[in-house]
Amino acid sequence: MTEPLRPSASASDHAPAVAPDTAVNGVPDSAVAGELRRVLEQVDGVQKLYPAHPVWQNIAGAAHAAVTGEAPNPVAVDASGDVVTVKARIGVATGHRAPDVARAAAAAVRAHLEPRRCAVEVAVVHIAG
Amino acid sequence: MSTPNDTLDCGHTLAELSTYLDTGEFADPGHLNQCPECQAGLAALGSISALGTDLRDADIAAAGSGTDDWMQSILDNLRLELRPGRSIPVRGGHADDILSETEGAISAVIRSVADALPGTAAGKCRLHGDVGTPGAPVTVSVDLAVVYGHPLEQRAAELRSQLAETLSQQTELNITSIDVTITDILAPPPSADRTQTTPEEKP
Repeated sequence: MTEPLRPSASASDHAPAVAPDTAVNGVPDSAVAGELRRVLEQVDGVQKLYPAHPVWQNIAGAAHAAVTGEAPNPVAVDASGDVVTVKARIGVATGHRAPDVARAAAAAVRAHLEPRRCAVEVAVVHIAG
Repeated sequence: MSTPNDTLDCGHTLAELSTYLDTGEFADPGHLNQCPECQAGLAALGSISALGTDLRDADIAAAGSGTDDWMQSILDNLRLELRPGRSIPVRGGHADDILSETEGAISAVIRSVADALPGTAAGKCRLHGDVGTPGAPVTVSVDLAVVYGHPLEQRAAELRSQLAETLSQQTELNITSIDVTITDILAPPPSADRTQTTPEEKP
């Protein structure tokens, strides 16, 4: 005896109780990384973004850059778990206080991803005029 | 400029950076825009190069170390400093955040402050102490080469003052002392105007 096939699950079956209203929900990490890149570049005092993982430590990124000529997105995002993890390495303009800029950068990321829980890692790797 | 053929963490060398400054040629130009260590290296080599240009006609053997060891020493130390180094914590605004500065970024700041003083070039720049523990006492040591005619004590005092101010702005380190050592006195070009120091400045 065969049983009738159940209707295939629709996307709405997997939707959370609260409709997603953040960029992370349903949006690929790479797209979120692009958004966060723009967010970080607008933080006062952030002079430059450097690859979160140096290219020489990221073979895939290096290969992609070699093929496409495009630099990989400098912001690393992992939204696979309950907590969205974001890593960024920034350069700070000398006219600004680097610790304050780091905090402002993390706060900007956090505000953009709200209300998702996130862990933001920001490293100041260069301070220059 | 001759440089030690030491490889940085990114795979490039000071010699390559020096060549890039001299010729504009670099095998992977895109990398320079993506690597903070190479950018710090270019800035430091640029400062050294500027001072070296000022001194190129000088008979360095007539004063100071008697050789160009000072330049080699600077380059040797630069190689070590052009690494990310230790992670220096920065207070976060949220418990889940991890904020930091690299030791290499701070070393580059120290070097840029020292190089900005007239007639000086930074040699060894070091942070001593447990920089990874917030509040732990940290000392700063800077070796300095000074062109003859510039007031040594005044340059050291200026550097100490400017470093204290800059590091208080750019870090949250508990700096307990800043030690400046004049390690070389460099002869100026024979034709150089010895009045480059202000009238109040006495060597």
